[in-house]
Parts: sequence; structure tokens; C-alpha cells
Amino acid sequence: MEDLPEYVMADILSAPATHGFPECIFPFEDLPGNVMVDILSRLPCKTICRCKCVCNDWRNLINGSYFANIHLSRSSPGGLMIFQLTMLDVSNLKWVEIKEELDHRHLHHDLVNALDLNLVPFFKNSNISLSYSYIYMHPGVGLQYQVPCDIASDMHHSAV
Amino acid sequence: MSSSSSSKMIELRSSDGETFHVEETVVLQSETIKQMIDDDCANAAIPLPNVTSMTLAKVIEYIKKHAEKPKDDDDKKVAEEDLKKFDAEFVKVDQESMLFDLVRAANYLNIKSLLDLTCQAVADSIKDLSVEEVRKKFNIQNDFTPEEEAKVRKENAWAFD
Repeated sequence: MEDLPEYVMADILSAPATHGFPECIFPFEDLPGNVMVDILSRLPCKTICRCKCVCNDWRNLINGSYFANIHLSRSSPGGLMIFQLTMLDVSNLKWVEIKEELDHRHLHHDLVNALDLNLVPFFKNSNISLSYSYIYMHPGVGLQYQVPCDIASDMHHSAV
Repeated sequence: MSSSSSSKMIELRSSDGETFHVEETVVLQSETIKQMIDDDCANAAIPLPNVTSMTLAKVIEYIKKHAEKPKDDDDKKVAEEDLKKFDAEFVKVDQESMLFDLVRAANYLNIKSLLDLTCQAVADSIKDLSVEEVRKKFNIQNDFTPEEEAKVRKENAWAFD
């Protein structure tokens, strides 16, 4: 706890008691899980990561493979993020949200050790330097796909 | 809009007992009701115990609009624009609770385009909210221990920039 930035602690401590909201509009427990996943999967990646901090249910929902499926199947921009791993500490990841649509046929949501980005048209002429330090990250499942070095070497464009 | 006087009428009954008469061609947009009709269960009024009359009236307004058929190609473009405007206005509800009711009704009645529309509207309404505001909106208890919450926030710290 001690190593948390002050602003994070302040945010946590200042949070009001979270029980009984008479003015509640969308009682979450009344919504079927599939609907909640539908709604959350439409959010920008950054908001999805914030939503993981809401409660255990949401964190588990977003971390689940069902969410990953739906999220990857949406062709909306921002469905994929590339992270630059500067340190082996997730809080130090830089992120680039992809603005163009990707060809999702080549993206696999299953647990894999590598993702062949050559198959993804977007990366062919992208301005993103893909090296071993870049990792594709899904907001739900976390560090899951590591870009293999040999593929990255073919795509040595300038760094972001 | 189309000549539909010959179309069969289906009777729907809301949770509060109000009945609505809707053309079969219109109501078929609901997969749930379509299934009932296919199974020959629509001879009497179809009870919809999960949908209030206020919500059902809105749903019927939506499916009626979406059932309109343009006459020709020129008309089609105009109709598409018109439908877009209608959809945008449709989710601008006075009470946000109505949006929530529409999401549930669309899910229950299995009307895909309405579910898409309303889920997107809910997503739009939460995308700029803080964690605390999201909890409030969805009546969610924060069930993290302070240590757990600190950890999950640290893991996702970049999302709070």
C-alpha cells in the first residue's frame, strides 16, 4: 500500500460509502451478464481498464474469455492496443490505441504464445515500431500476446 | 406507410395489463415473439410480464419505424437518413431509467438492432465517468478490500491519466 501514488490513495480514501443509492438508475444486478458484457465491450480500452476497478464482478467479467470474444469481434476502432513495455511493470506501459479497423479474422483470442502480426493488414505500413518490447494487450485478459522478434524485425519502422 | 390493412394483427399484453395491437409483419422483428408465432402460441394476447406498457409503447414505436419500407432507391437514401435521425432521437429519453428499461426489453424480446442501439447509448453515457460514478449509476457495492482496490488500480493506473 505504501508505494501507491498519493493521488490514488486520496481517491480511494475519499470515496463515499458505497451502499444504498436511492437515486440509482441502472441496477446492475437486474441486467443479464450478456447485456453487461455487450455494454462494456463497446467502451474505449481505457474506460474498460477503469471499469475493472469497479468491483470483483466487473473485473471477473472483463477478464473472462466471453468478454474477450465479444470485444475482439467488435470492429469498432480502438479494439486493439499496442503497449510498449518499458519495464516489467504493467503500470509503466505506454499505450497506443489503434484508430483503424483491423481484420479480425486473423486475430485469435485463444491463449497463444505468439501473434503473427504480418497477417494483420493494419500493421503492414504502420508507423509503429514493433520490437520485442511491444506487446499486444487486450484490456481484459492482460499480457497475452507477445510479438515475436523475427516478425518484428521485418517491420522496423520508426518508433512511436 | 405500406398498404398493410390485410396484415394479421398480433395482440401484446404488457406487465400492467395494457393490450397493444401490432401488425404481425412489424412484430416479427422480435425474435422472441416470432418464435411464439411460429410455435402457434400467438392466437390469444401474448403476455409480456417483463415489459411495462410505457416501455412497450416505446418498443412498438421503434419497430414500427424500422418496418417502414421505402418505395424506390431515391426514397431509400432519404429513409436511411431519416432512420438514423430517428434512432439518435429515440435514445434521448427524458428519464435515464427508460433507457435501462429499453435495454432489458430489447434483450427479452430479442430485437438485435434495438439492443445494439440502447447498449451503445448506455456505453456512451458511462465512458467518461469515474469509477465511483459508475458504481453509483449501476448501484454497485465496492466489494474490494482497500488492499485489493489499491492493487487493481495500480495495475490499471495508466487508465486514470
